[in-house]
Amino acid sequence: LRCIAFSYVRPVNPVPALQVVHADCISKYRIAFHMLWRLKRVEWSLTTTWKQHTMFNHTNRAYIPPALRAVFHRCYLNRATMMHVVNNLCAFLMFEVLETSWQSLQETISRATCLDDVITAHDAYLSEVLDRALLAPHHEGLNMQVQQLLHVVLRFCTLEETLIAGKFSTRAVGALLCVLS
Amino acid sequence: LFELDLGGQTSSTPVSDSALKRTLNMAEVLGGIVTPEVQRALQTLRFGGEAALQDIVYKLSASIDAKLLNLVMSRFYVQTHLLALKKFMLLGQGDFVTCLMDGVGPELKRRANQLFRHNLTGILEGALRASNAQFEPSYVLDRIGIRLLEATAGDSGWEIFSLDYAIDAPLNAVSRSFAVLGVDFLFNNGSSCSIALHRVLVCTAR
Repeated sequence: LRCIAFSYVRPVNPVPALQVVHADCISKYRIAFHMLWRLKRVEWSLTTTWKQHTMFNHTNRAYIPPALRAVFHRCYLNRATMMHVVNNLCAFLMFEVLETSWQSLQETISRATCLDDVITAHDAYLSEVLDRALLAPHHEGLNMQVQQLLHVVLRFCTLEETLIAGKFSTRAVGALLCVLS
Repeated sequence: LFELDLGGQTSSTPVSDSALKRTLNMAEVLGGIVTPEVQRALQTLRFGGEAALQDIVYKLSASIDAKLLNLVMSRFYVQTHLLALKKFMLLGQGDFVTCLMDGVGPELKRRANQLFRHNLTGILEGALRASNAQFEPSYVLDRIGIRLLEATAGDSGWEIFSLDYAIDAPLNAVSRSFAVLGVDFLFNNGSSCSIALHRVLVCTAR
């Protein structure tokens, strides 16, 4: 036994967190990250275009043709709806999904008696997060719809940005109206 | 090794006291794993007492589990790492995410093949310093990095950008097997409980 003890090569600088957060978990974290990052990006794009739009309105109020003013108004209304949806989705994921799962993970870990308990608790936590964030395979249809929604919002944002950047082309206005309807 | 422990004794009932003492001393090195209760049980162990031995092994395994857990939690900051994963990989730290978005947004509007990792790393550092993330311990901050995915034609920077929490650095060195981890820890402690257990078993067998 002693001979085994000394021939056993200890790995350099072992990180036991690895055992809890193993390779499977890392990929799950990445999946969740992509979903959340995309959502945050959409939220950020919406607020950025709102900022640009408002600034544009303040500086160029006199030069905006009446036809465009109507378009801008509809942009504002639609953006408000989009923001409402995106903010709600964000809040749901952050508070209802992540925080409650985290809370139960904390409780389980505080009751754990061995390392295996911690590992299973963490695995369960991640699956719960993925499941409730609509990322599990059986939610695929719903998730696709959410992603499409986000895609439409992003298209709206890019179109509006081109519009405000001074490229008042009829094509941009037409495309924007198409998205709005 | 075992001959030495048994003090040259050949007949086995009762188990040699000195051997047990040594075994217990050995176990004491592990610090707190052998409770007085287990010690008493060991001293009264007689040949043929498999049930008692089983009981001892269960008790020992429970205390080893507790010690291992305590070690992992206190010395290797598992909780902190989990919280950091939530804060950074799951975007739980709001002010950091806002800082990062504001910095990285204009950069990510470019085409994927026009992105430069060093620019993004610089912005990430800035966001870490500007937000409350700066108060995280250095062993957390050092692990946060940027990972750019494989870009396909027509991707913008947004599609390939991803944060990374480098918990997998020595992954290939450490086996997934829980048993190996346990053995590793016990060796780390300067002594091996499996040796002690084995001695108990050998003593009983003799």
